[in-house]
Amino acid sequence: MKPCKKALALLLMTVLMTTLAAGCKSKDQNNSSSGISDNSQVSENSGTGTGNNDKPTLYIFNSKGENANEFEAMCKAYTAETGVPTKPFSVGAGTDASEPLRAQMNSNTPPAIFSIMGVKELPEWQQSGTALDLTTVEDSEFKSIVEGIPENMRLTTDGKASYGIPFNVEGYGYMVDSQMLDDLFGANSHEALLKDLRTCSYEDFTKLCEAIDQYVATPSAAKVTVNGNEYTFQAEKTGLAKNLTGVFAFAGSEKWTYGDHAINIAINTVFSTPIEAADAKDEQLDQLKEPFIAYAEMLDFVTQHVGGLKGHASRGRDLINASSFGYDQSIQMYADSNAVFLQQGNWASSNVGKVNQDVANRSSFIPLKCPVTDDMIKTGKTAEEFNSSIPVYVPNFYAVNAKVSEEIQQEAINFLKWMQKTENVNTYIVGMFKAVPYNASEDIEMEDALGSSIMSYVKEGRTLSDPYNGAPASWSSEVVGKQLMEQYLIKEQWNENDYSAIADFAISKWKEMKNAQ
Amino acid sequence: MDKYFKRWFGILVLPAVLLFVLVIALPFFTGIVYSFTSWRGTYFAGGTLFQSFVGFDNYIKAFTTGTFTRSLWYTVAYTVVAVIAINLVALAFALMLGSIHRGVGMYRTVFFMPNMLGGLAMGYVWQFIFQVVYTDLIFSPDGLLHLEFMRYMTQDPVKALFALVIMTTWQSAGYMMLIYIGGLNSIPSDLYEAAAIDGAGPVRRFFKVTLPLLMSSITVVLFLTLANSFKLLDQNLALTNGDFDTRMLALQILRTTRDTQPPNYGVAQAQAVIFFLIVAAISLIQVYVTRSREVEF
Repeated sequence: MKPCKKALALLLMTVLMTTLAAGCKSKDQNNSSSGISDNSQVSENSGTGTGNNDKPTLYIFNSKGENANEFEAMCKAYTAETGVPTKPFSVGAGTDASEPLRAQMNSNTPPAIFSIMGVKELPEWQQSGTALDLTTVEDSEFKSIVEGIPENMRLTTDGKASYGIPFNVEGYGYMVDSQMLDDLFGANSHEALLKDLRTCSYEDFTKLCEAIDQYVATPSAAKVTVNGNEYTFQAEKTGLAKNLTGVFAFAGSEKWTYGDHAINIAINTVFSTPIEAADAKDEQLDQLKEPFIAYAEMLDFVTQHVGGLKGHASRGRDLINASSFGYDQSIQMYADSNAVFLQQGNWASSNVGKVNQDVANRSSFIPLKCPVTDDMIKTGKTAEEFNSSIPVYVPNFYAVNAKVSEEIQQEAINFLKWMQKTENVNTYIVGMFKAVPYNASEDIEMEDALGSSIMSYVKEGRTLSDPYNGAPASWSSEVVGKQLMEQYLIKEQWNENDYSAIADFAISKWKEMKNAQ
Repeated sequence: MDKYFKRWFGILVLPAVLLFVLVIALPFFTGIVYSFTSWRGTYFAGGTLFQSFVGFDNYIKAFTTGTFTRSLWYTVAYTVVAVIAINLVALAFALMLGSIHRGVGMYRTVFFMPNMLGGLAMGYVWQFIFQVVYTDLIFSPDGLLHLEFMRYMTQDPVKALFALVIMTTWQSAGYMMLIYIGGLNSIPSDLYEAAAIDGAGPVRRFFKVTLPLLMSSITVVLFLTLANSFKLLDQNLALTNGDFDTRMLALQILRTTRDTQPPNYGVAQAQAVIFFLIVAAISLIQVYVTRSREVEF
């Protein structure tokens, strides 16, 4: 070997070592791990934890990757206004935030503000002592914010402590396009019909769906009664009605649509908050038998009236194929007017808008109709109220890290106070994040049609909660939803025995998993 | 030259050793420690590291909850089928390319190409192939050939196992083929001539000359496919995501932290340790057995 080769070997080795050392060092400084975009607003010397004015840097974990840029802009505005350096991290859009959050929590500079996705995730941060009980904060302005959070939106396990400031509220129901109703029942019929659909009973709703199904196959000027008012179909298919292949757009491969969301309606009959559900007694779970049978009946009805991309679909193995009945396909079918109704939440608004913005602008929600009766409901509501309400709940909370220094905790609280100022709620939460604030004032203007539809239910007090989030982890989607997908959605005919088998399975699994935890 | 390496040995291996220690050895040993604790991802349930030691509880839990053992057997079944399929196809490709004269380079490239696709991307592509192309076009009642077994392959544990094998064979046979081609080329042609003169036919030549002399390549390929099959994750996740009882070991470990709340990283880690022991044992036994059969020439 020539000397130059030896020198080269040594040189390469040195380069490797330097890179290695540099790699380790930069890891400490930037504190960025995979999947996290590092949007630093502070000057280069941020690694020490102090920024420009010797004020400590406020690390903020943002679990919504979709609004990473807007969130960064908000932090910039805060820094400009107060001089407090901020450093937000956002996960990639659509990524599960829990793993990156745990990685951040284990790093040298854990976030002072982080997010907790409801009661389901609370035990983890409560047990580790990371979540600060916000009711213990000595700050009158902040105290009034914490006390002002409506009781059913508090992040708590005992009803006393409160661990988070709601990020926003979300809701879901059947999306329906007003133009579609006009095309089915004649111009300007949608206003009256939408009003009737909001409050009509399960029976009226199913009659309407059957009539639409009939109309799709053989159009005629048939009459149908909703809420006592008569509506007449157009004799010929016009406009969007020509595209119809069924009544419902359905995502059979997405277990959460029927496992989490649809079954949540039935759970609402016994539990009015996720906290109650998390604390469920066996007797209460037994009371869910009848509501779960009602839920199975509803699911049976919906899956018999599904529109497909290639014409009317039926239950069977095709219905759970991700390539034909996945989330995107269901959005596509709804936005292309292949179906009248789509069970989704206002979070899907931008997805619908990407396919057809006009449809998104014309859409509003009607409640999921479920054949529950007054005596099934233990929460004091009537069946009529039940079928005219939609679930509206807080998906995400901002929490303060109790393990950072008191000084930084105070900065975090200042930041949250600033965020909740009315003008900032309007500018950032409503204006930039396009989210529905939990404390929306009466006069708030939502740009998004589905968002304002949610607001209208909130204003009328016609809301249900998200008790499914209080069920044992992975019960709703990965156990019940999975069972429905693998055993029932592929079966063409269901009978009464199937209804009660579904109900029994759901209840026994809940009991089993509750005791295992 | 020897003197040079002897003198600088310590420094020259330092980067590799350091990397190995930092990236593999340290996390590995921390992992083993965590598998005996109630680690929850960011904290130890029940206090400090020392207070949270739970002995073999996590290991017992791994074997008693059922999902782990089920995925273990599913992985074993998949591995058996996949190792056979990939080896046969790869060897067949290699022998075929050895006997044709035109377009060898092109075929080699075509067979190798699927290997360059990432596992996740491939899983989604094949999901479409199984769910639409197989189900609705080729094997449907009014398709080219009505075969009910080949329809809805992602919706049944047995069918999904073969779906995975079809996909991974398509992916890795080309790569293994290259190793076999290398092995075949290193067999001296005079051995074949001598065998032919002694009256050995093509089949006999294959079993008496090719196969024994190919043993070193077979070792490599078997080792690679066995380990890869056992560790399969991306394709499993993208194709079925564990639905219809198709969770394989790696996916099972990944999902364990989502099955409960707070996440039980201790149990997940215990499963990972068992997983490591199995993979290590299989690999060592396999290398030992095949080595002893290799022929020197």
